Amino acid sequence: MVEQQESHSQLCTEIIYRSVFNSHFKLLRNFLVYKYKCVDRAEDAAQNAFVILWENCGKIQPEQAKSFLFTTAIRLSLNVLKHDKVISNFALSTPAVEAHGESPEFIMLENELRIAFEKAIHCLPEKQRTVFLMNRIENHSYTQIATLLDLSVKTVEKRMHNALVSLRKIIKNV
Amino acid sequence: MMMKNNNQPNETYLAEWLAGTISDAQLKLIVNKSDYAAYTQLRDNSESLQLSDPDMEENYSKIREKINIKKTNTRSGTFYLLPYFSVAATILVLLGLFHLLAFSNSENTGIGTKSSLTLPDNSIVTLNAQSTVNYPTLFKYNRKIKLSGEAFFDVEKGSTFCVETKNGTIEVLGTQFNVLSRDGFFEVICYEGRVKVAVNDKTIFLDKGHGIRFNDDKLEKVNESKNLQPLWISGESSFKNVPFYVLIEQLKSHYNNSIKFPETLSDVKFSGTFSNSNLEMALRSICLPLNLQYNITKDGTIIISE
Repeated sequence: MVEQQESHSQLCTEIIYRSVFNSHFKLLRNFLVYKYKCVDRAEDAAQNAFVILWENCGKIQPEQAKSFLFTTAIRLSLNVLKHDKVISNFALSTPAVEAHGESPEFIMLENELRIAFEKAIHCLPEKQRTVFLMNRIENHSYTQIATLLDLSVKTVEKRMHNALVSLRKIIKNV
Repeated sequence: MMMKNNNQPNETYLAEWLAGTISDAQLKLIVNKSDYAAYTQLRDNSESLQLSDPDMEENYSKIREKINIKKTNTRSGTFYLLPYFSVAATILVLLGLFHLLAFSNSENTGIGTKSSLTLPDNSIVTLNAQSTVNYPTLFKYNRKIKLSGEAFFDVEKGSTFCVETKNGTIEVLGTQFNVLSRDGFFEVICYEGRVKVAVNDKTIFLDKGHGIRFNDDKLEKVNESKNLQPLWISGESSFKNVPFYVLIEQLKSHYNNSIKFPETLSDVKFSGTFSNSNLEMALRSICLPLNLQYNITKDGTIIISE
C-alpha cells in the first residue's frame, strides 16, 4: 500500500514524467503515424495521450504508463475516426478538395517498384498496416504487438499474413 | 474490405515466414514461383522502410503547453458564468439596499429582562420584557421602528420619528414617550414634547403628561403627571385602571410562570404597581387590593382565585 502511494506521486513529478515521455513517446507516435498515415496528426494525438496521462498521473504507476498511453491513444483515435466520417460525409456534398498531409515520411529509394510499395502500404487496411509496420519498422515481435494493442497473438499473425497477401494484390494490380 | 476470401482464410504461414519460423524453402513449397518472388521482394523492401524520428523537445514542450492551456481553460471556465454572476450581483445589491432600508436589525427581550439600545441617530430605546423592535440599518434616513410589546423612547430631535405597532402608529419630532402594544391593548404615554398617535383612521395629539389607551377599540385618556419616566424602567410595573388580563400579560412577561385566573376577572380594572423582580411581592401587590387568593403549585403554575 505504501509502495503504491509512493509510485502514485512519482509519475506526477516532472522528472519521472519526463523519463516516461523519453521512453515511450517515439514508439507511440510511430504507431500513430502507421495508423493515421500522417505525422502531424499522429504527433498531435500522441501529445494528447500524454496530456491525459499527466491528468491521471496520481492513479497510474510509471510501469503502467506505456499500456495506458496506447489504450488512451487508441480510444482517442475512435473519436478521430468518428470525426473523419463527418468530414467524408461533408465531402460528398461539396466539390472534392485535394487531400493533403497524407504522406508518411518514409525514406525510400527512388525505385519505381519501391514507390509502388509505399503506395501499397498506404492502401492497406489500417489494422493490417499498423501491425505490419510495427513488426517491420519497430522490430516488435508478434507477442509484443499483441500485448501493446491488446490483441491475441493469433490475430496479429493473421493481420501480418493478410497484410502480405493484400500488398501482393495491390502491387499486382498496379 | 481489401481482403477477399482467400483459399486459406485461417492460414498465417506468411506471418510465420516473416518471423523466421518457416524457412524460404518451406515457403517455396506452399506458394507458386511468382508469388514467392513477390513476397520476397516485399519482405526485402519492407526491411529498408524507415520513419524519421520525432523532435522530442518540441513534442514535450507542446505537451506542456496543452496541459497549461487545459488548466487555464478550467480556470477561465468561470467566465462563461459571467452573466449568471452579474444577475447574482444585481440581486445581492438590491438585497443589500433592501437590507439597509428595511427593518433588518432586531432587538428583543425575553421574559423578565430589560434591554436598552442606542439607535444610529442617538435616540435611546428601552425595551421592557418580552418585547421586540426592528429598525433599518440606514436609520438616520428612515427613522422608522417596528415595535411589539413595550418600550420607552427618548427621541433625538430631527426629522419624523415613527413607531409602528400592530395596533397603531406614533409619530414624533423629538420627545420621550412610552408605548405598550400587546394583543388587543395599546397604550401611548407622552413624557416630554408632543406625539402624534394614529390608530385606524383616528389621529390624536398627546402633550406632555398625557396618554391614550385603546382597549378593545375603546379609547381612554390616561394622565401621567408625576413621573418623568415609566416606572418599569426602575423595576416596577405601574398601572392605572388597566384590565386584569393586561396586568397578567405584563406579569407573565416578567416571570416565567403560567398563570391561571377565573375569566370573570378578565375585565376587572386594576390600579397599582408590582415588583418586576420578586414574584411573591408582585402577587401580593396584585391580589391584596382585589381581595384575591393565589397559589403556586410545584411546577410553578400560579393559580389565582376569588
